[in-house]
Amino acid sequence: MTGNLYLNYLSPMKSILISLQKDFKNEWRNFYQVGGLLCFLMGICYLIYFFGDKNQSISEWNLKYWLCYLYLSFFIGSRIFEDDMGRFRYFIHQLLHPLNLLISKIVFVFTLLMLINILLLIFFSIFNPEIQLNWLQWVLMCVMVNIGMSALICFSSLINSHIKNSTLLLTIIILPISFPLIGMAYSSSISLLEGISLFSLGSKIRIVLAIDLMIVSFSLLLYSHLIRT
Amino acid sequence: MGIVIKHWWKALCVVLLTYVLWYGLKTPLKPGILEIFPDRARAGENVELNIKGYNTHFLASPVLVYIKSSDQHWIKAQSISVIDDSQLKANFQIPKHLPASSISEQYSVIISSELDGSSVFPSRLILQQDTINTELAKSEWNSENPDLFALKANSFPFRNILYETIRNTFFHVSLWFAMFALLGSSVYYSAKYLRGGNLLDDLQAYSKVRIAVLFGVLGLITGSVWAKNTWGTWWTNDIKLNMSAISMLIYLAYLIIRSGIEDPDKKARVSSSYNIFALVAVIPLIFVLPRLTDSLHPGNGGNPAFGSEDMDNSLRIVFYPAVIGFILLGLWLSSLLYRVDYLFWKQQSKEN
Repeated sequence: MTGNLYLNYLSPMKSILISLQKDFKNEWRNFYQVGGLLCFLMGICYLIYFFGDKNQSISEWNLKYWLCYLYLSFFIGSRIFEDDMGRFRYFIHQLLHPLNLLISKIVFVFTLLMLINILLLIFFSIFNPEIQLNWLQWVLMCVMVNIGMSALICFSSLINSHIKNSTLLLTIIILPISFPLIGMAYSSSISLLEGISLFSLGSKIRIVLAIDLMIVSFSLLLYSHLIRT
Repeated sequence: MGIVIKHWWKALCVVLLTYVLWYGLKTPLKPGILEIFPDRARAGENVELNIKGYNTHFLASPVLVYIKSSDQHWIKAQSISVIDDSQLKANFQIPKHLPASSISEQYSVIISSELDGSSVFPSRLILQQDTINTELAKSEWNSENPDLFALKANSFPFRNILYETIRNTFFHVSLWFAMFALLGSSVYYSAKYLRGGNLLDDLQAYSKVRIAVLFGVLGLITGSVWAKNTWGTWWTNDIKLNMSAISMLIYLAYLIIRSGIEDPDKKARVSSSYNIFALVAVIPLIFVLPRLTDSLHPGNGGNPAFGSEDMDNSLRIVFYPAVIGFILLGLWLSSLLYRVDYLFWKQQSKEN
């Protein structure tokens, strides 16, 4: 831990990695949080299977998938800056450049979102084996969506940490603002489920990447103003 | 007079909106065709079309009636009996062959008179034939331009489905334009606040967002009323409609964020950052996503926006003043809100 005192003197990459390491260790030591998330994920998948139509259409399957993803992402977002903006705020800011902190948070959220995407895909495929899709292309699409989504969640979570830090408020902030990305993800994934290759969805993918670029760049641009408060 | 010169833009706003209300509601619709019965006939038959007009004056001047194909071939009514100013019966002898390469095809009906000009009901009549012979059809149908009169009086276009609701263009569309102008202006003030730290800039942004939300809600209401009259329902799953509603939610979240923070500096900084971010999210919602899928709105799903199908010059001379008028009204209303906020801010500063 003594090495962390010199984080500002380290290269940005090194300080981001150390911050990431801290977040993952924290997550591992408080496993009930991520464990609760995974239990919720499994539970919701099973409930959808149990109460849902056994011969559901592609669009129904897709809608349920992204709805589960959206609500699980709210749980992740609700506690991203919980400690860093609360108890350890001044401590963290002395150790780490704000931009590096944000980048490490974005990478951390991105990892968790990818985990959620893959687990959801596994459970949804187990409970609905009749839906056929190209897993690799699906994961690639999720990578593109999660770049923007992770930046969005971090930005909204940071705003939320300035107010009351409640999940409800975070939902109010994220839900409408994430719609362009989720809408594009829904539209692209429908095409994937219909058997269209990801590489022939040029216009949709370009829009997803453009939204990613806008969200990430504006998050990085506006972050410094939020951290000052 | 001095007050008018000082507040020239407010005077301009009043003049423009008065003009929009007066000219936009007073100008009549161009005469058009409401109904045609029957809407089907067979080649070689004699058919009597009952035509119901709108804003027409069939008794006032002689009327010509034509059936026209999509490739410019036409036939003229053999006899016309006018019942009243808005109803007539036109008798046609449909030739044995149709200028079409299929058994059945849609044809337009045109009525023309010196007083009312020409009106078209596109693709209304379905004609069917037993045998296809386009060469014979060419000799049976006319191909030179028919005699058509142009309307001399000032009027708005008659569009089936829209009818009188076409005037809503001046209010519904203009309100959205004004909303975006106000949101753009609020982002400018938010960015200015983040650069300079002047709380008054944040108050400017806040007042503009509130009026923009008001205009957005009015845009949704006018859209909903329009949808009821044209599409038959208050709300549809049309993508542009729903994306607009979601963009309103984004700005409602802005208002919630502001109400959740006590400290004025913190409130200004967080809400200014969110305001800039919100516009970034709204742009793909309203301008990108609706273009990717089918939409009932013009300019989306491949439909042209403000092309000759949606808008002609008679509408433009009211529409553009309406846009400017509503933008000025928005700025005026937001300046009033700003002045109230400024007084509260000044009072609080004195108390502290």
